[in-house]
Amino acid sequence: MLKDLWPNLAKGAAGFLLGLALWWGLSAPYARLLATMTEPLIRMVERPAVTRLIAGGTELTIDRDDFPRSSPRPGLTLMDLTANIILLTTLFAVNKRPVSDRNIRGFVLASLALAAVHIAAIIVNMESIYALRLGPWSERNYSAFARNFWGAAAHFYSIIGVFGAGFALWWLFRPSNEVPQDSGKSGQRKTVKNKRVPAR
Amino acid sequence: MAASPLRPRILFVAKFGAVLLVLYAVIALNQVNDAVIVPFTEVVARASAGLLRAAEGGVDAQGTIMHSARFALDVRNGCNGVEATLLLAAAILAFPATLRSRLIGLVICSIAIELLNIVRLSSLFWLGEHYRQVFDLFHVAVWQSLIILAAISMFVLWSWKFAERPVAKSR
Repeated sequence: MLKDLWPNLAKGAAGFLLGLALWWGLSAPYARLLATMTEPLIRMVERPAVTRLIAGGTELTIDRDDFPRSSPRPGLTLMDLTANIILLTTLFAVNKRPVSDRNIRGFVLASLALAAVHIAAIIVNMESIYALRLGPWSERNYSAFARNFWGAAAHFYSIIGVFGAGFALWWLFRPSNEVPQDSGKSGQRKTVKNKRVPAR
Repeated sequence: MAASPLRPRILFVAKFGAVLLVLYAVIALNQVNDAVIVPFTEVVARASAGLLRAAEGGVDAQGTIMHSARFALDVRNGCNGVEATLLLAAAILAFPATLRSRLIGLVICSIAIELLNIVRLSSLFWLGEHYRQVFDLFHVAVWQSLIILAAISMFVLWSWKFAERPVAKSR
């Protein structure tokens, strides 16, 4: 394991820089894509369907047809929500054969799943803004439970969910034999006491 | 025949997500936040200010705020290393291993993460003082990702070195 330390660090650094470049360089077009994909989903479930998401640079402005014209529109900074692409890119770069078909296929699938996570994160954050930040309007339209729920969900994503999702998607989509396999039956199986898994 | 790795992976991720939610619910409680997280964050802020003071003077900490004549940094949830520790703990608890192995992994890796986080906060404060234009980039993207990557690397190392394999596979 340790003999692979420097190559792994080099691959990790390259992946980290690639992820940083993707995150930074594509943030504006990605914001437009996310706005285009998220708005119909929100409108599908809200009654009346009045929410509009307007991408401007790396920020999404949340607008509603029923907002007073003179009131300021809340915004959502997407860079915080999408920083987990850096983690995902780095983790796939450290895999044994980073440019193999299997690894790239896994990375593409994980990135697509991550985009779905980003859409969900936008919806959660938007609901948390609706539920908590619009004063009397929030109190009129959201129950105490709903306000707590959306507030906690947005906080969970920003504190830990954002990177937890990146890690979980890497674990799911990485090629086999990159890390020790979890048998998935920890409660049922026996273990050999004091026998360690040999380092690979 | 090569066994499909998908089922155990899905199980691991499900357990990992469930444990992460439970751990988050615990630290999100006001009582836990006030009695444990905030005092702990104050210790982290003091330690980070102390580390920076060794390199350059004039940095101090009051409560969770690190400050100098030129810059101030409020260390909040998400910056105190607890989030990385929770992620690591959820991964270790979701992975099959003995209680002893888990405890060893949790204790050693948590201490390592918090030490790294002290370096992170010190360097962020230094960047805020001297290179304010790159502070946000390092705060949001670089150091956040590095801390989580460190936690994941520790988990992978732990699972290689300490987690015990099933009898059927070890024979």
